[in-house]
Order: sequence, then structure tokens, then C-alpha cells
Amino acid sequence: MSTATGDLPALADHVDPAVVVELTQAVWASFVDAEVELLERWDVPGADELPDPVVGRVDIVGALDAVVHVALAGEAARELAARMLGLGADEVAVDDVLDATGEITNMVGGNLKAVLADDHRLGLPAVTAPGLLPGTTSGEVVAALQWGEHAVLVTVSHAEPVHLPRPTEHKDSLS
Amino acid sequence: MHALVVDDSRAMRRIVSSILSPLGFTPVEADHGATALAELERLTADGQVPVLACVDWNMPVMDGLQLVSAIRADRRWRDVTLMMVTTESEHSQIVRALAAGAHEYLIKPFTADAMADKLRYLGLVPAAVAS
Repeated sequence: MSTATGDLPALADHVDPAVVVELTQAVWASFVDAEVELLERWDVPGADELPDPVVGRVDIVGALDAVVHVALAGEAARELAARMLGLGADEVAVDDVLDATGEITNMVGGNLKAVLADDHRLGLPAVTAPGLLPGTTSGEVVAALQWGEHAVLVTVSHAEPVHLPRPTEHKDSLS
Repeated sequence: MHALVVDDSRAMRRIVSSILSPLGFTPVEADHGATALAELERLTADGQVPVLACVDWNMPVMDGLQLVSAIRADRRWRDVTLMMVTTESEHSQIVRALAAGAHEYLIKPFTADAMADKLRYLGLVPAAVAS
């Protein structure tokens, strides 16, 4: 699904939400959970579905400057980290959550970059502080997915000149 | 048979290492190109030059392309097989990596079978083990 754009260049003209869904599903199946499919859903999850959200971000720089966010509830992010690292749920550390969420975001962003025109570059992933859900404003491409009981939100929006700290800068706030 | 696993994501290093270990490799992990070179120096000093390096592209400090170039520039490591493991999947990027000296290219996301197939193709894993 996608939202309409205002005066900004239309991301939806370049980014197909179905492709965002497909490549996110592929990342999930390879590294997170091949048993439980990541299903496309048609309603954007609200804040109550993403409590204590963990949000990965990666920038795509080029003719179409864009930022990719992958957001999921803190509990879901811990489960994601446990699956990627082969750990028990009680063995997952904050660093693991940051690392796993960042790498998932990196793969989604990297594969999305590949479907854009040439000469785009991928930044390094970062994980934002809890409570900072990506907006679902006009002009964004939004893909909402369901992983078991968890909602996963992937947004592609126009890049803003904001500084996002590296994951290590957020360890305390995520613990 | 050592294999260098270079990725800034600990989760990805763990995943790659968990694929390599059952195939007979002893993984040695590094979180970017500079630490990978340090590990290479250490292993070389111990007479244990890795047969394989799996290298991510986008990393802080020293990226994968720089690392591949650095390894290829050193004759001590001419027998190290270099496999890029990255989300950089555009044809132009693959060409750049191969031109820099990478032998193979594996695009994230990948499966364990896909990695084993690449290693079999490179002659690093017996067919019976990889299949």
C-alpha cells in the first residue's frame, strides 16, 4: 500500500510497495523465521501494536534520497535477535537487539537500493531510540506485515537531514 | 582450515560462521576490514593463513571493497579465496568487486544451501559435504 505524495517527488513512482513487501519477506525467510511466514497486511499497525518500538534506519543516497525504517515492538525485536543469533529469549542482550534490527534494516534497504536506478549508495544502519516510530505521513511508501503475533512496519520516506546515533549510543535507553 | 568472516553485524557473523563450521571451516570473525587485516596478520604469523574470507561490503572504518583490494595486494594472501557476502546486488557493484579481486559473490539474503553451493563451486568443500 502507499500514500499519496504532496509537492515532493513521488516515492511511489520509484518504490513499489509490493516489492518492499516481497524483499522483506525474503529477508525474514532466510534469517529470521522460515516456519512462520511474514504476511502482508492492509492496515498500518498503531502504536499500541508496537509497544516499546525498536526502529532500524538506513539511508539510500542518490538521485532519490530516501530513508528506510523497519519498526517492530521491543518484544518482537528481542525474538528477532534470538532467532538470528540462535539464542534463548532470556539470553538476548540489548546489543543483540540493536545488531539484529540494524542488519535486517540493512538488508531490506540494500535490496531496495538494488531495484532503484544506478548510482545510489547505501548508508550504514542505525537503530533509533525507543518511542520514535517512523511517521506514516503523506509521500511515504508503507508496507505493513504480520509475523505471528507481531506487526512489522516498513516505511520508505524522503530523507531528512537528521543525525541518528549509532546503536551503541542507545544501549542504555533500550535496556 | 580457517575462514575469515568479516561483517559489522554480529548476527550476520554468527549466521555465516554457523554455516561454515559444519562444512569443516574454523571461522575467525572480524567486524570490519581493518580488524580483518589484523586477524590475517595474526593467523599468518601463526602459519594459519585462511583459505577463505567472506566479506561484507558496507562496513565502518574499512569497507569490504577496500579489504579485498588490500588482501589482493599482498602476495602472502594470494591463495585466500575471497567471497563477497553483501546486499550490494547491482551488476555494476558485482563487476567492481570481481575486478578488485573477489572470486565469488553471494547476495544477502541467502540460504545456507546457497553458500554451500558457492563453496563447492570454488572447490573449498567436497561435493558430498556441500550437497
